[in-house]
Amino acid sequence: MSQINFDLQASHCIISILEKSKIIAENLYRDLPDFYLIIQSDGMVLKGNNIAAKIFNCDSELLLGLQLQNLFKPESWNVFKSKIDTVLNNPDKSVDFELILGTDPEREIIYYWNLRVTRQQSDKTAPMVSVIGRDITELRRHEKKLMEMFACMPIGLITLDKDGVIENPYSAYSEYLLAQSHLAGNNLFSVLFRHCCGLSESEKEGMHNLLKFYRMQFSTYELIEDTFPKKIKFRYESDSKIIERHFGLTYQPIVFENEVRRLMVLIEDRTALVQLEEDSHRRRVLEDKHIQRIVQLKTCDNEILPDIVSEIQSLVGLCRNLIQSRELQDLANKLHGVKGNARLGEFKNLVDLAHSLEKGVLNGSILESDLTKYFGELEKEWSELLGLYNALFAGGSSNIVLPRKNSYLVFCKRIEKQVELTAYRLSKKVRVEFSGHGQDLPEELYSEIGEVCLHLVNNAIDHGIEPSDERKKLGKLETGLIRIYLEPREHGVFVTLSDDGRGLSPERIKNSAIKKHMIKEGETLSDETLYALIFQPQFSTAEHVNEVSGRGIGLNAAKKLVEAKQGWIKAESLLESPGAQFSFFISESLQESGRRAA
Amino acid sequence: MQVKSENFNQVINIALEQILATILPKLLSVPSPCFLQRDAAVVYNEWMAGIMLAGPPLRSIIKLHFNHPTLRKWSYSQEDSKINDQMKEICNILSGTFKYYLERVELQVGISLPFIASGMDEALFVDSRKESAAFYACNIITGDQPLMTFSHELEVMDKKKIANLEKLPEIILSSHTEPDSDDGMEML
Repeated sequence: MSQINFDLQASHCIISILEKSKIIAENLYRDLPDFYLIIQSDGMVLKGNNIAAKIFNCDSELLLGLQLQNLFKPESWNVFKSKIDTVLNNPDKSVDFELILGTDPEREIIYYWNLRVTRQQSDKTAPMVSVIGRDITELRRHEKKLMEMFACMPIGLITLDKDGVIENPYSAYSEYLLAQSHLAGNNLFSVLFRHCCGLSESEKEGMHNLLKFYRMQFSTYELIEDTFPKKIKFRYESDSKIIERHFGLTYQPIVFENEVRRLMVLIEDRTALVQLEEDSHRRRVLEDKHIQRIVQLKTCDNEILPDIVSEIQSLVGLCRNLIQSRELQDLANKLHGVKGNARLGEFKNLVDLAHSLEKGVLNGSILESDLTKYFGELEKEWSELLGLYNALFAGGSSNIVLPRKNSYLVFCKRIEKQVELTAYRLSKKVRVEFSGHGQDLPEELYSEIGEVCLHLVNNAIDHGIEPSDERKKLGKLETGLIRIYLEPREHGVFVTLSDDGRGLSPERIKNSAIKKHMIKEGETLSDETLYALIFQPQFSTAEHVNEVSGRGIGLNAAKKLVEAKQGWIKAESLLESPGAQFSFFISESLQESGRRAA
Repeated sequence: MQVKSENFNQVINIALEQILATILPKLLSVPSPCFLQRDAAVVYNEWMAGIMLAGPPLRSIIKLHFNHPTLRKWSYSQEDSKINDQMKEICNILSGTFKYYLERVELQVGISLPFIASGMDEALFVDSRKESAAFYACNIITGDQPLMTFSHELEVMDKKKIANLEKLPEIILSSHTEPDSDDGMEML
């Protein structure tokens, strides 16, 4: 018996110790702040803690046999029962869900439930399910409040899940910015980046990197974040409207255990800012142009400036009339004149505008309907220049063009300046000499003579006078020479302009004329007839067109100017010395002639 | 050789019910209790008081399943620990009396100290019972209210030696006298 007693005593000791430990553990769950029950599959309560007893309104030791079903509305209990079945079918997995506890519609409490099968030794007893419920009513109330605040924020704020899909909630303002509704569930690419324009290659790459953020180590994320598009232009077309906005994008990763689990994207509307920047840039450009114009006017030779301004003013007016009458060839001639005078004044913007307009008129790239618009830009530039000119030199009066100083001296300076500029532009060395009786010419003819001479000078430098190295090989002086001889005659002026260049080549003129179908191949023409061809519109022997000549404008313009003054012009090759010579005669009007005689 | 015997179990159950019917009104302020046999495979309540008897012919565990709120109505004390002590004492007296009658039929057993355990253990570890053990349970009703549940497990080790057990109910009924609480008890 003593052995039996010893065994019993030992068993009792073991049971007592184990039971003490277990009672301590059970006291812990009794005081758990969460709802805790062990139930059977039919919802009968086997055991529970103090919180559960409080909800059942009984002592925790009297929970046995109560029905959990009594705490739910019938429809909620059906959900709960289905969850019990789910967890019983998958005993290794727990089930989490939210469900309202309570049967009173006025006082519903939201619980977050966790169900799992209780591990038990016996398979004779029905399976038991442990139920843990946490009251999240307050949490949901705060979440709702936060969501309301979140939705009302006047910035675009969206979060992306692991697939780059927009999650709920997002700020309502996002829908306004992106001009799309129901953003949740859509990919960021489809609602935002698909409608972006002007993304650089690196930004496109960054856009693809962006969609790979999920589970990326934070350190790696930091490296690629720099490539994400930060400033984008958004253009969204719907059936009825086109929306263009500029967005600034900021990315905020949501990191858990050093891995990026979500990505918050902040969309800021920068449209007004960008417009402001663009306006500011435009203003800066205008100011720069303004300053540039002042510098141009200030650095221009005071002697020839009034002459240039007066000439351009006159030509711009003529151009306006020619546009209205659609006389395009004449228009090109006048624009050529504007360009030449603008170059003389070194008005770069005006030169560029006149050049592109002239080019467009000649090759037909500018439609007639657009002529007024493009010419408007030229007029505007000229108007700005003229206004500044008047402000600087005419005491601020914007409508007065200072009287030109029609004199032999101004004429010579204009030609010298033109020679200097054209030679510099074509990388040639050229000088000009004047002879004859230029100082005795009627004042009003200097303008016309000067205009014709400008075209002839350009032509001589570009086509006649060779580059310095070529001249040296030919045994010529390195610096080319242009001679201008002026002689007053009865009722007009006779002018010759000769150069020591390569002269006129009847063969080249003939070939060029054949190519342009101006003469037939094999047709025999005198040199004089051939030389007359070079004054035809758009005739040129140049193989390449440059900014100075090559389009067949200059000589035609000169001819038109001369003919407008009842004069004539001709070209010839010099026999006694190398080079070409142009001679022209301009008539003085009868009125002027009479006035001068008186 | 272990022997399973429902017959012996039935005899012992009757004997134990008779003893309980005698001692319960003395230890709790309850009128005559009645016993209602349960079919449930698992019997438990929030708490369980138990005691073990063991000797060469048999092994037995006697358990009372109860909860404090119910017993507070019938106990002299409202404290849970005192109620636990009371239930352990009931187990002790029950087993001591039982031992006394077993010795009257020449069966020698020892008794453990009574213990208190969580009632859930019974539900979680029901399979730990040996297949050879016979199991019996009944609800103890007082008036029309359940008071507690009594359960008993018996494992017969030597069938020949317990042949006299059949005389036990008769002996108990004929005794009519309460045995001396210390007489023949072997306290551990």
